[in-house]
Amino acid sequence: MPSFIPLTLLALVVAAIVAHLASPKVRPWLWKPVAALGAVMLVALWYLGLFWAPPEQFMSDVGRILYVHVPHVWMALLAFTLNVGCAVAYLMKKSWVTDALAESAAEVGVYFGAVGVSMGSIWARPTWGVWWDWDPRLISTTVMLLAYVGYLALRSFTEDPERRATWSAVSAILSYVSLPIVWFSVRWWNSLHQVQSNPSTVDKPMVQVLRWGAVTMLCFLYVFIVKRYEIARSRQTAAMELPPLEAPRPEAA
Amino acid sequence: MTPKISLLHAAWLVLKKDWQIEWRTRARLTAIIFFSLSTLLLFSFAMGPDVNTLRAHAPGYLWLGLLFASVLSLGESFRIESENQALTGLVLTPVEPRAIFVGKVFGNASLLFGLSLVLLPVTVALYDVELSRDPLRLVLVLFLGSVGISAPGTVYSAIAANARARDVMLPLLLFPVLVPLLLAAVSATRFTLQPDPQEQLGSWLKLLTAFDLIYLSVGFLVFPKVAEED
Amino acid sequence: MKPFVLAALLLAPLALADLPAPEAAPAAVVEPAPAPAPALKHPEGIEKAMGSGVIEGGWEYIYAAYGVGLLGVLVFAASLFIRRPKGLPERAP
Repeated sequence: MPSFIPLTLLALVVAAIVAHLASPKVRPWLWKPVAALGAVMLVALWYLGLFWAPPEQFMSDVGRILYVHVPHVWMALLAFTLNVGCAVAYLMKKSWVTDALAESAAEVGVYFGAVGVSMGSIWARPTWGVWWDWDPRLISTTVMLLAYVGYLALRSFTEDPERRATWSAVSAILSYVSLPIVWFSVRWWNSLHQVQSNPSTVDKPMVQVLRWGAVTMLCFLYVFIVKRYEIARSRQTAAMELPPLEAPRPEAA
Repeated sequence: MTPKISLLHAAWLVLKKDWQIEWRTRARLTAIIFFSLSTLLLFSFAMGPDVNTLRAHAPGYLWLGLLFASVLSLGESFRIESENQALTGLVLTPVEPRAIFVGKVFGNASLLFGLSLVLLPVTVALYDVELSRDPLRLVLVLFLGSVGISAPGTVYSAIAANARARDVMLPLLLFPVLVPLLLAAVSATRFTLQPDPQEQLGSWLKLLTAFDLIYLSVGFLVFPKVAEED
Repeated sequence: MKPFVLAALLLAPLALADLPAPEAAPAAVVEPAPAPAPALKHPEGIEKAMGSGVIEGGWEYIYAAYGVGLLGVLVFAASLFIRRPKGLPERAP
């Protein structure tokens, strides 16, 4: 596969996202072609990863798991970064838009992270001989995931929309800050016990498949966040339309 | 009417107020001391009577005991404020919310630090550790760890105190954030209790300090937002 | 935006153009698995276990991982569909 194909597709998806942000007119329908593209690419990814790509040098066939595992984790980190960006934006200027976007990014990020971490665990079993290991990437992704599960729980346990928005934004920032610290602490801890072997050489076809996987998952990331955002917005409007039970909050408008 | 006072002075007043409330009943300290005592005892039951295993894992048990106790103590720290709208009163005083944060952090940290000092002789009794190797730096580690638990813990307990299911909420939010602190504190404690051939204590102390500073400053920045929603 | 979308839809099958001849998927599933095995299998018992550091087989793990991925997409998409905002009629009151 020539290398320009995944890159062109990436450019297409990025263009779709930019168009989505720029023009409200395309928003109702743009997710449909992206979802179709994602579905086609997903089928192709399964074929490419399972059969087309050559076996990895050291991990042999097991290395094929990486083609789906790595893109999932990338997307999870991307979604969490988007969530923190929205959290900071919300704290600087209150807006229901950033709040809804933060919520959807967090949930989609938890989905991608959970799938990615379970794939990583499945990969670790034949490669390292254990389901779980003190790998900094593994631990920091998992800690991140746990923190965002807590974030979503906080959101569902807080009724007042404004409190929920502020508190979850604060909680998101606190969890995100821990990411680099977790990374370093696990790496230092690790240096004491063992040196983690790293898959050193990455062949060209593998890079292609990896890129293909990343673009595929980016399609799904976009579609999922857009659809989840619509749900979050409609819930917000529903909450606003209900008559206020206690003190009315004039800022809600 | 009230003259504007400096942030540190206000923080000191909040801290003194918390100490006073605590000292009046001493209920919180007594409760968490007995709670963590039984936790430490349960760890030794769970691991069996092998002294070598217990001694090797003593730092981990100590910090887990402190961590579990901290959840109780942090939860209580804002519960006393949410009763009778005391926190609203506190926010309405011409005191910066940041002063409340600083005061609360060090109030909680001092309680945890006191608890950890109480627990040290217990670890000697239960796990047969040797405290005399590097007592000064051990105390430093305990102090830094207590501050590290309290800094994010104060923000989260201010949030959780008003959420539904607050008893579940606080550990759910706090524990993932404290993972690096737990790693650093356990390692640092281990190297003050056991030989440290590779001189690793220094880097763990640095990590602990960095964790404290990062969470103190992040909490300092975001706490006003939390307080205005309370 | 429509040209982009059309181009994307056209390009997706194009990308597969230089793939090996399309086989029926289940047939291909069986084939690649035993292919590397004969070369690595014949050394004596322990030698094989130590081997050259290359991990053999493990296809059940690969299928499990790819299955988790597929299942995840389907389940999450379904959950989004179930929770979709129910348009105008509900907003009436």
